[in-house]
Amino acid sequence: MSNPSQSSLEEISSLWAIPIYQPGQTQLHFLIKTPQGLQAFCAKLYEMGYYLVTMVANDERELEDHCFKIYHLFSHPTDNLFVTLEYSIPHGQNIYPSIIDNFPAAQVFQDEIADLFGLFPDKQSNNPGYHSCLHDSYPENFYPLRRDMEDQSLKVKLKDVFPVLSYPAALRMPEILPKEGVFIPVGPIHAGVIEPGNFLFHLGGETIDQLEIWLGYTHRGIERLFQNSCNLLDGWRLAEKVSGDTSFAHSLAYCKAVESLLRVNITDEVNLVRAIFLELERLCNHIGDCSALIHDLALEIVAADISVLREKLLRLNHKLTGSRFLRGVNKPGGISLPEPLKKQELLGPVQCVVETFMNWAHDVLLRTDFRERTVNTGVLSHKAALRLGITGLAARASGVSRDFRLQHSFGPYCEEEIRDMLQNAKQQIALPFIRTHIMSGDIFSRFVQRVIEIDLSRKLIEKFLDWLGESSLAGLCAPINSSASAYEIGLGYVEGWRGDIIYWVMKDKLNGIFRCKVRDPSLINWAGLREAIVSTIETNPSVTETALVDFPLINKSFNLSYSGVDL
Amino acid sequence: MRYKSDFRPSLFWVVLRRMAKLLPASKPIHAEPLKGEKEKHNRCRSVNIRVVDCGSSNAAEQEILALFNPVYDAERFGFHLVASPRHADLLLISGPVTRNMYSALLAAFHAMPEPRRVITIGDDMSEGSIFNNSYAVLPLPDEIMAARIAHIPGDPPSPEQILQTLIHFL
Repeated sequence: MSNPSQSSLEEISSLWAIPIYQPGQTQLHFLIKTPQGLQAFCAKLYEMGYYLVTMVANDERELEDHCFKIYHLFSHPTDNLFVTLEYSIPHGQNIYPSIIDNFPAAQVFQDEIADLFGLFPDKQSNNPGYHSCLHDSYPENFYPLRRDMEDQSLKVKLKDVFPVLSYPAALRMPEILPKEGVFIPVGPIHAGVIEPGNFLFHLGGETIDQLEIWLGYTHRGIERLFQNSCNLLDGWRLAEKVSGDTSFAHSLAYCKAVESLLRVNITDEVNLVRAIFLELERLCNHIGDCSALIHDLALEIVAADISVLREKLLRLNHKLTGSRFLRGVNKPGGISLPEPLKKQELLGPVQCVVETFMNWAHDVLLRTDFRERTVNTGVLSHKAALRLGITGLAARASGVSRDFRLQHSFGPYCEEEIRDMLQNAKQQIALPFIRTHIMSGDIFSRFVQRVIEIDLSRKLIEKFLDWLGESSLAGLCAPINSSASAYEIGLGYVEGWRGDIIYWVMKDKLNGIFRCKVRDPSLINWAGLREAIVSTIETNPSVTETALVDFPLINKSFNLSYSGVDL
Repeated sequence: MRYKSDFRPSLFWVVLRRMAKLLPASKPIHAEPLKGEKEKHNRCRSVNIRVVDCGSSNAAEQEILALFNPVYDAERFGFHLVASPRHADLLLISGPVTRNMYSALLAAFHAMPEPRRVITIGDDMSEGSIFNNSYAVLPLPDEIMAARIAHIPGDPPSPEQILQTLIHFL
């Protein structure tokens, strides 16, 4: 708990907001009185360095306030503090004040809210957005997350509308088409085995002048499914399917949201096992990413060898939990494994895999061809990363120290030893040339950041297994008494391997979900990808423009989730 | 190559060939399957696969990519991933078909030349999945259902399961 930050906020906020105290000590909740108050408060938060984490729109017309509400959630850069600003849209209106002046990251949430609720900001941004859940395949005035329509009536509305394919980027071509220029639309289906998304490149010769990204092709209506097809104790099954390669982290964030809502106490052993699997998932995915990146750089043998390492880890996952992607492990209240987790089953393979990987990484990082292609390519500058609110791996590779394991830690991550390891990961790595590398936000830095985190994950797993003892129990679940009253809010947050995953869950009268907002870090980081290719915030003449042939490499170096954004 | 139809054997050759078949562990040069038995594995064919993700979470794609790592190595059976549906024999569809991807999927399917087949992957696409209740998900188009030869269940199916099904239909 951070008393200085909390008390300073309370002094400042008394002009513009009414504080409502949350049961958790790490969260502050303010009710905003006026639109001007919202803008002023946000300006203050921006000055103090807060990050916009998410904006949740909620249809509360049936509840006591009879209006739509928008909850803006911010997190403190260094302390364990979340600030929620709650704004009620006056009855009958559908316009709310926009905070993109101070927080450009709000744009993607505004687009989402406009699509799903029909609530529009009073100010649009100059930048083209990249997130639209509802393309031309849906009719006008179709707002699926409003609660006045049932599933059946929604389907009736959609019955006669043929799902037309929309290439929004290409459709906007005539207005912005210059006299000379080459446009390349890379449509929803891509050449490789990858999720669908639309990119429109404006080329000036070989280099990219402008890039427009359009996502939303895998929109499955997950937030509505949470409301209508899941209850509180069941929703982890759907949470796992949001983004398949981070199943464990998503389901963990969901379970933590439910546990904070129902005020369940989690034992140390459960937290340790959860932390071990979180690090294991991080290992698998970082190693897979590195393999894909090296494959794109035409070092095929190294990539093949590293992909074998990933396969070993996936098989280890299967042996420990019955699922290659660690599915079915998290339950609200605890974990459930088919067999007890034994130390020697996990420790040996992980150490062997990471050691082999570090040998390859050492060879690859010293190669000239690797450095030539990756250094100073796709640079996401520190200033841009701060301005856009980038989180997770991409932020750490740009020099922004943003890690939910440090700032909003749970369980074993609160210990001093672990926090030291997290903060000094770069200095303690065995490869000496990494220790002196300055994180500049290019592809090389993101690769180096992955190598650092792989090494760190191994050390963390060793430490956690030490603390766990020889083996753990297989099923550890705390009993759940739903002691929360209706319409309470729970917040679950976890540092997945891409970044921080947030679940904002509001309970309804019975044990169901009134509203569940899923925020994958990719939602914000796509803006970082575009910034890395076409920098709008920092025009540094020493950074060269990006050639079109480098785009797949930059895309792979970020490796953002498409389905986590589209939901 | 000399085909059987070019060659009208004399009795001597007919008898010699019959005797050669009776020799233990010897195979005639132009091996043919015995009458009445279907060929189990046609080792000469290769299959070009185009994968279309219609709305899956990334897990099925990761498993398909894992098929082409040195451990499973589907390329040794003749499976190749191709970038364009015009080069493809087989369409692998993963994930529930979302409204936003419906037309793209149909376009990819129509671009494939005959004979074309479809295999669907993953539990998300089967009847009992939670996504069927969603407004954003449509059932598979009829023509794709007609061309479908297999459905590989699993959440997601492991590369071994995918490979078994693919080899079976080779």
